[in-house]
Amino acid sequence: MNLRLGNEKGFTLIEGLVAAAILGIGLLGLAGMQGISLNRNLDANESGRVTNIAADMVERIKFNRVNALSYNNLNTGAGCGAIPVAQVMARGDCTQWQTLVNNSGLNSAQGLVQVVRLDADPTLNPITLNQFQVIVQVNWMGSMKGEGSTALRAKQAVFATVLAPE
Amino acid sequence: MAISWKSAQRRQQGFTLIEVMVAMVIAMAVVAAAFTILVTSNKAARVNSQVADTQQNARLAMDLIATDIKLAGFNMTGTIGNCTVGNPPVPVPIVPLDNTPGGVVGAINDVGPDSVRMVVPALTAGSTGGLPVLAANGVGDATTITLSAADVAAMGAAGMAVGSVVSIGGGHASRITATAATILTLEKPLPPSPGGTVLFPIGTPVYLLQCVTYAVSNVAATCGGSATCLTRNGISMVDGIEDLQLAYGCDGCNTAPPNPPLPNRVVDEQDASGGTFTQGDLITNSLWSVVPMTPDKIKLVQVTIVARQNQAEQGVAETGAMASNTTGPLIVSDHDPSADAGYNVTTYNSQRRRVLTRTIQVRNIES
Repeated sequence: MNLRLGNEKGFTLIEGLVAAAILGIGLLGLAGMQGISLNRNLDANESGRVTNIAADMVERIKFNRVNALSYNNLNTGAGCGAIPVAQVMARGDCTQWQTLVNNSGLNSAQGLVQVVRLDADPTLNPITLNQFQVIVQVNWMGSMKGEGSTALRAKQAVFATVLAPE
Repeated sequence: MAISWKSAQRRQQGFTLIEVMVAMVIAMAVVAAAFTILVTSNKAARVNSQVADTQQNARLAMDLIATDIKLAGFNMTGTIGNCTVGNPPVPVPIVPLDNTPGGVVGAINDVGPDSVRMVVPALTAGSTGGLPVLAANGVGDATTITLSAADVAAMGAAGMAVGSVVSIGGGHASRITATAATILTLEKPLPPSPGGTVLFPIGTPVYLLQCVTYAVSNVAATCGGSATCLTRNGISMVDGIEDLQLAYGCDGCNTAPPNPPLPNRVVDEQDASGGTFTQGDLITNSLWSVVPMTPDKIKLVQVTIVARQNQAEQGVAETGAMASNTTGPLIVSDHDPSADAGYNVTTYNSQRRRVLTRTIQVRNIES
């Protein structure tokens, strides 16, 4: 009988409080996951927009593929003055793309294009595929902070393709 | 025994009222905190899923329409469906259908989403849900092609009839003058091949060309319960698409100076910007500088998609205050939604939107 009565002791208040605290920490962790999820959603949004911005430029270069080299070193941060005035399409594409990048709502967004000739120039060597490598790069600062960090994250997306003017 | 009984009685005193009350207050605080977390988590989860859906829908719609714009034309011959302009009808690969055509170049005068018609190959017209293929070699000068009976039946179900146009391997397009169980008779025979060489071997895909219309619907019955959707030939394809705006860059449709009389791989000047290529040269209002409208000269299509979430934004606050976006109506291309019929600023501001813009080069239009 003594044994039975001795077992009727409940938890102490301290024990209860510790249990509540542990539960609270667990629940806070769960709530934190929603925040992480929202952040990742916003990251996905930025990636989606960057993909479209890059696709926009690739399509423009594809249309003007005969003059692909005039897009080399295009930098939305530096302006379009380096492109010769005679390259009407390349100049226009540059200014319009600059507007698109600057109005994208992405933090400090910057677009860069590199075009490199892969094959020999057909005027020098008629037997050539005349291919160009086109690299479109977008740099921006990720708007959402990483966990535990207050700094914006520098992000970069690089899209590479090869095109051959007919 | 008696001592033991007394001792037991002492131990059965239980909690005092104060103890019970303290315990209840703590328990209530814990339950309240847990419940708050439950409510906010639930709201956050809903916001998360709506944001994800909205972004997903915008991406889907853009990919869908971009794919078809790239294919538009597809070696077409003659009139296909209602992909024509003018009277008498002239067949064209892309028919821009601006919501409010006309007006000054660059004017923001639309009061709704644009739509567009284009000639594209049906990629799922075959018997297995893929492409129909030749069941016999196509040789030069042949006036018929042979397919499996299942493929012919499936193409019939997909809308093929006498008068439809098929493209064999993307290389030869002809109108169909008769259909039999496995034989399609071509109006335009296959090109001549010296010595009867096989031009299109067994297994060459046969594309049934169709005129498809992309539009935005705000009829819930059409959209399967969603408030708005992107439709393709009237069938809901992507939920939650609120706006579709298209601008077209053409080469050879404006021959007035400073444009040259012939296409020169430079998008034609439309906005008198002195021979430079600007945003204003992309036509938003179906109004080409030189009539007749010649959409077969379209070289670039700029697509803008606006996706919005299906329900009003509830926010994540416990108080139930609606989240509101007060940056004002989202003006894309030549459409300012605040001029639309039924525009309500409160409703408009309580919906989250995602915008994607992409310029697409049309690949399959000959001019």
